[in-house]
Amino acid sequence: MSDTDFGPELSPQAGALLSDLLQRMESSLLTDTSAPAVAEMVRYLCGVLPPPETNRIESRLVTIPASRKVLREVRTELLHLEVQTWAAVALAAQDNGRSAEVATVWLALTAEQVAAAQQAPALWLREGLEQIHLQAGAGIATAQTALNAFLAYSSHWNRPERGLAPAWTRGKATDIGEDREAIEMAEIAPCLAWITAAFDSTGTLTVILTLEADTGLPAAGFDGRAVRLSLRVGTELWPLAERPLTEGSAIWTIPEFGAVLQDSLDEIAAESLHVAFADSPASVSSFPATLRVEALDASGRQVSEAPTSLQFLEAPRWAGGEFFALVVLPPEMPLRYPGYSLRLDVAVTADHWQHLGAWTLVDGDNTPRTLQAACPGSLDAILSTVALLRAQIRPPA
Amino acid sequence: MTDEVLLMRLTGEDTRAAEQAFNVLFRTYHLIALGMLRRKYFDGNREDAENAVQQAFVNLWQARHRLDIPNIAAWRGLLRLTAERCYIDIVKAKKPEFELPPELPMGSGEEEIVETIRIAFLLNRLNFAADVLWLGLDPALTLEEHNRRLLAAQLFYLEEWSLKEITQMLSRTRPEEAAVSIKILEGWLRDPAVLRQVAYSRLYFTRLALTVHLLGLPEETEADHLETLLSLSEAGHSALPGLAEWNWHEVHAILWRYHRNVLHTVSPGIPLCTLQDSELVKLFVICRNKFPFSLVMKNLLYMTQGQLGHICGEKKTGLWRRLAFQYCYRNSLTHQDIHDRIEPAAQQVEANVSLIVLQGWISDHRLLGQLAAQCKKLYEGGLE
Repeated sequence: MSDTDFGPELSPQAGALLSDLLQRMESSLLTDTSAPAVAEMVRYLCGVLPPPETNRIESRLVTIPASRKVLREVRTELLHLEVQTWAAVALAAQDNGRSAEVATVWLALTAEQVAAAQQAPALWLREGLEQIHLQAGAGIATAQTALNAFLAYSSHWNRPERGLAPAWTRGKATDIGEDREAIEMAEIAPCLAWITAAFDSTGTLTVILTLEADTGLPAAGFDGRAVRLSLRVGTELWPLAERPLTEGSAIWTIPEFGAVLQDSLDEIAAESLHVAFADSPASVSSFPATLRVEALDASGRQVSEAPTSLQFLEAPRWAGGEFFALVVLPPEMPLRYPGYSLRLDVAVTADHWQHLGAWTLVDGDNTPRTLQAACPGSLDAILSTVALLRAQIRPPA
Repeated sequence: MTDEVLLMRLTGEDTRAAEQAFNVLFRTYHLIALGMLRRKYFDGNREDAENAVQQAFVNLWQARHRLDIPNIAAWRGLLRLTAERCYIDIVKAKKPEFELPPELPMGSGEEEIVETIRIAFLLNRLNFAADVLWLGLDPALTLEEHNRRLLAAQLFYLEEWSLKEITQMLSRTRPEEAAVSIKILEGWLRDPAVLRQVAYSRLYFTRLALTVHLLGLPEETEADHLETLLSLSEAGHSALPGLAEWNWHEVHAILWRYHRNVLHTVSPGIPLCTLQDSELVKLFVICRNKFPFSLVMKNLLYMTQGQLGHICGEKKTGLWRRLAFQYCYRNSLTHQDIHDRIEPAAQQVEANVSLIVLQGWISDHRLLGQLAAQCKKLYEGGLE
């Protein structure tokens, strides 16, 4: 039907009937026309709502102009809160007005997410990437939390250690070769294990594991056993999927990989890959665990030196409204960064962080040290994966 | 046991193994199916969606011997499609909350048109059909996707968010989906359908919104407040907070005329009105001069750097027909009132929406006929 067409005519009876029908249906229609509340907007902006709720909020935002103005204010408030300590946010929440309202919701959300994140590694082990992605898309809350935890964890990949090669680059297949770090299958000796990984432009990750006998032929002796592919950051392993070995080979094709990790990820360090027999015990995290520390300059840009790392002797925890982490700093850190302070943040969602606190680096600070920060209103919780923390060192202001 | 093995057992001959496989698949996928369905029909009834998912599993169980499900992706697709069909059947079966006349002397096939429109309305998809027809929305995309694009464009053109701010927000709000890049966003912002939607969202004023504008009240004022004002005006209160431009008699007349849509020229006229006819005529001329449509269109042209002029000007009538339909069938306005709301904006892009043109669209229910044909085209074969 063209734009200038007058369109078909209806008989007067049908036209009158439909017109009447529309009027009466209009009055019987129960549509939610109220503007989204500030609490809904905070959760919407943080990406923790199930998809139907997200859709419902957007359908109201597009029809209520005033709500879009409030959305901007809420977003600005959120950005402001993210750089403040938990204690400062709690103080802001006691005030009046919209800022206080946003702070109150943000604080509740932070406490909820930190508590829920405890379960994320276990759920990840049980379900794997594909199921969690599917469930999160369907709005299942535990899966959304696990996915957000994984995304926060994966943000560490965006800062690969310099000098590590090869890396998987989007659109390029990489032969990683025999890598004992990546392939934890000692019992296959004297076979050789080879991994080829490709991360294509659509975001599909393909990994091929080949077991080769010393004759140069595929080693079929392990056929039928399942092999687990995991991704690794520091000392943590997050399983992606299991596949059976067939004729000495296992192939993983994971289209969700790029979709989950989104467009921000173009390259992953080769060390991020890990393969093991699926009947070996799986765990996401164990302690002591290490977390990479980024060194930033005064303007917040990453400095060019190789980053250092922080060792957590036990799982960080919240108890009685305070955060505790027993850590060891590398001895060279205070020498290389005199006067700098170590700053810790915790992931609330995929890319929203709550600042916990900052501690000045002291010379000779290489003995175990408990980092402690006030977190008023926090629930008692144990952080079972250090990947949900972000550590940075910054020069004095 | 992998899902692929479960699917083989489900469609196999061993009934006991099939039952066990079905139970596991139900436990794993019923919440996922519900989520997929509620995501598409997010504005629908939750109970209907739950019943639809239950029914979908029953249907799949009954048809299991005839199913060919090569892999888990095919299973998910089949489940989604079956659940959607069940949902539509449930909505279709709902009786309207009012009685239709038992016999209608209508032309051939028109009963079907009435039914199609009724179902589209019950699914909250009548406005969507109108947007596809007149604003040029892609019918292959879901309503949620269109809303997302519209929101992005509104934030950019009307609220002056930067491209980076919008892409960040869109990517954060749906962490389970692929991120929206700046390139993708720029494509949306240039899309004529999205631009028409932005224009429509700004140019369409409900009776409430226009009355609020005329009275100079805050944009977020709700209908209850106007009803309170109406009661106060009828009670003869002397204080008039926040409405300094008008006296109570004028407020009373404006509320009846624009909010309640009552014409002073048609009997019984505006109740309890203390103004003379000549005063009312003068008042409503002042009101028409305060209509926002011309200014809104000028701003839109400025914000979109003239892009709207190319897609809504001269003979490109989609946007104006969409507005005419809404004012006619959802607001019950007269042809003259519709003209007063559309023509000032159309003039800004040199589009001819004279009263005669408008009457040509609206008379004999032509717009409704166009929409009915569109609904039939869109929703034939199960509103897929």
